[in-house]
Amino acid sequence: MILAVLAEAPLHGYGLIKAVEQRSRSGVLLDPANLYRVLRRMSGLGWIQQVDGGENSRRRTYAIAPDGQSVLRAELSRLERLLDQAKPAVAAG
Amino acid sequence: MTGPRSSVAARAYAAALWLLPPGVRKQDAQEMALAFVDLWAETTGVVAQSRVLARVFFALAVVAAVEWLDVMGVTKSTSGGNGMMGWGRNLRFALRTLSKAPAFTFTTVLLIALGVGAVTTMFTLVDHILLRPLPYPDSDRLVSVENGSHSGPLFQAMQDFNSVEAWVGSRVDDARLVGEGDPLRIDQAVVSRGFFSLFGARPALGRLLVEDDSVAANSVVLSRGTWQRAFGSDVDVVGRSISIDGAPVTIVGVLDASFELPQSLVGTSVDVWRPINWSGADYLTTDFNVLDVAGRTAQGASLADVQSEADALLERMATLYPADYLNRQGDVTYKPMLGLQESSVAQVRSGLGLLLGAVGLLLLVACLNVAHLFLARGLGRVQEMAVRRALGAGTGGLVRQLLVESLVVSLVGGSLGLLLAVAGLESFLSLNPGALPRGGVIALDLRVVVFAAAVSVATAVMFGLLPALRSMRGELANELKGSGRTSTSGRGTGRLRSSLVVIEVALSLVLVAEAGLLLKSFLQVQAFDAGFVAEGVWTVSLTPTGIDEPLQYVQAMNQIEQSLASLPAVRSVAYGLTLPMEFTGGGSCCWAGRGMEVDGVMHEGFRVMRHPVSRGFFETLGVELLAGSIWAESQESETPTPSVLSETLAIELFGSAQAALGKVIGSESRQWQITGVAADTRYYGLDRAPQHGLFLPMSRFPYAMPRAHMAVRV
Repeated sequence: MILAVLAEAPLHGYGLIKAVEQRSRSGVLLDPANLYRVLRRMSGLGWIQQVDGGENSRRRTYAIAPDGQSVLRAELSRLERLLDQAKPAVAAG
Repeated sequence: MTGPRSSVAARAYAAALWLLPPGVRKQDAQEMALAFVDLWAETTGVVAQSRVLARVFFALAVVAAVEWLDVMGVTKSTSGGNGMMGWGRNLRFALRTLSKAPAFTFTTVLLIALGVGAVTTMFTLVDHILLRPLPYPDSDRLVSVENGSHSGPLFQAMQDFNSVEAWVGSRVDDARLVGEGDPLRIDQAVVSRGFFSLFGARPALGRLLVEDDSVAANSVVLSRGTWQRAFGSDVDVVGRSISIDGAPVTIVGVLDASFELPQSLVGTSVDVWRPINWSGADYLTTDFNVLDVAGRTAQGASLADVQSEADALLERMATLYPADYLNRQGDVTYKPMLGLQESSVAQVRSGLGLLLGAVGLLLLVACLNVAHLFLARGLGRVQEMAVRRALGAGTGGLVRQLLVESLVVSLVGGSLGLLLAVAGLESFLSLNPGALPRGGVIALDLRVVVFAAAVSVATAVMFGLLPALRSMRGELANELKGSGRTSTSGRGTGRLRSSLVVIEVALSLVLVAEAGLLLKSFLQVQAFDAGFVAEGVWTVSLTPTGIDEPLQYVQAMNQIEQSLASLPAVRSVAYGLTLPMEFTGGGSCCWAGRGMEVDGVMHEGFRVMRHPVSRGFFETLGVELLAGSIWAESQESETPTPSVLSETLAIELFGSAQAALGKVIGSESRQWQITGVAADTRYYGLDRAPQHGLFLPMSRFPYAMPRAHMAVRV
């Protein structure tokens, strides 16, 4: 979800919290501690990177990295395949 | 963070960020604090703010714990090495899953908390009282004598035992201390030489008692409490002269606060320690049993060796002093030896065992309920598990997930249970602080916390994980289609649930039966005829100050009695040197006599407790007068002293209560004329046999007492 949000535009921490909340229709409520733990992990894996925040430079801003784009694409196609495979099984029941 | 939007919540969050490991804090704390400030600023309304606070702080605590585990190398959940199956992720997933089932989580946590809280409270008591060795050097070699006070000569003869390195003796009684300001009523222990070294006591100031002190017997060691209370913690107190019961004594030291009283010898409270004055008449006679004793066995000697030496000594003493060491049947009254630890806990052992067993069963019932809840929840999640397995989740991963869920529930329940145990222990001990041996040192400690954690985790694994695993054993296809409940696994689960219900009902029945028996005992105690009526009676111990003469004392107490009697709600008032149940804490009444002379013939083999009381005693305490009457006020100064005798003794001596009236008993030096016969009273506890009593006027008690007990019936 975080990768998907960052794929649209770079965001700072609180921006990410709000965007994920809106995108999931309040299904996923992030908090600062968990958010930054995930961001550290994604940075470590090279999926996201820090970018210049422009006028709001007081806060650290994150953007999706090329590796993150690939992971996001791969994950989306895996989920699509899974749905395609699972739909007939459930429909048959 | 420090701008105009800074708030108490933001500052609290910034402070809480210090929970994180330094590396993480340095990297992200500032950003996290800024994100919180924004989040907080956009949250309005008390309910929403409370939710955000709970969620954010809880998440921070969990993340901090996981980060520390990472730092310590226990887990690697952020490195990506363990992928999505890391423990940290499992933990967060478990928290999220559990928060979506609040009724289940709340009930399970509450059940575990109640079970763990009750068991931990009782385990703490059992651990401190029964399991831990006494805090004295070589405590396993310390011995005591069951229900036995010893006379001075017997105590001295015991020093020759080969099987015992040293015996020490002590006696506790009331005294009046005059130091600074008003006189104080104190509990005074007189002890033999070697007492402090036997128990490894150390002084906080000055020194403790040494052998030379017993020669002049004018030294005193203060307890820490007395030093603080009566002398304002004055460090120059050593060497000061004070007065105890009118005798000048010199303070030689203050006992260290860490010293734990050997309660089977000196009870629960001692204010000053003095050496035994062996020249005192009390200690020279064989018929005055005043010393409670303890000793340390010699290396290699057993309790049986001590017992055989004690038996041989008592047989010798019985030959020399048959009146004092033979019972009415002419047999030697042997004294059973037992370990000091055993003698300290003998009275409470069975009660504590019973309670621990009861709360153990309670925990088991709670655990079975937890198992039921997990089982029901497992059934509700069959399809969820099947979908996750179909999507590729391995059994190991799912088991780990279920385990983490169980652990989270049990650890939260266990933590809550510990808090309950703290509160439970406090209220349990405050019910009657002196009733439990070593009550002053009982507290929760690391050992108990480990115990509670072990109980919680065992509960989680046995009663949470196993039932949940049952829900994963069905056929995948059936479960995906939603027909898992009719499969073989469903029938197996049904059998498990039935078994659980059967066990639960059986255990509950045992608990109900136990509770019923306890209730029956309680009702029996309530209905027990103790010989007096305690309902509606209030008692207080009083110490009139500045009085040295016995008669002045009686006058002062009479004045208090009269002023209390004039109060509108008061039906009657009385006072006495003792009142029923006022000497149950290990001490014994200070004025006892052996045998009784009737018409010049000595009747021996029984003890008569003499109770100086005011005339209102029988009415106020509800003690029934079976024959005759209380002495009249005008009779109080007559000789022989007018007295009321207890029923059984009157029957033993004279055949009936009526026949005892008007009779004179006692020796030439001290005689009593019986004006009335009262019902027997269980003065020293409902579990003790009634003792023979002789009630006499306070004005005929030849001492100025440091303390008396006033009773008021309303």
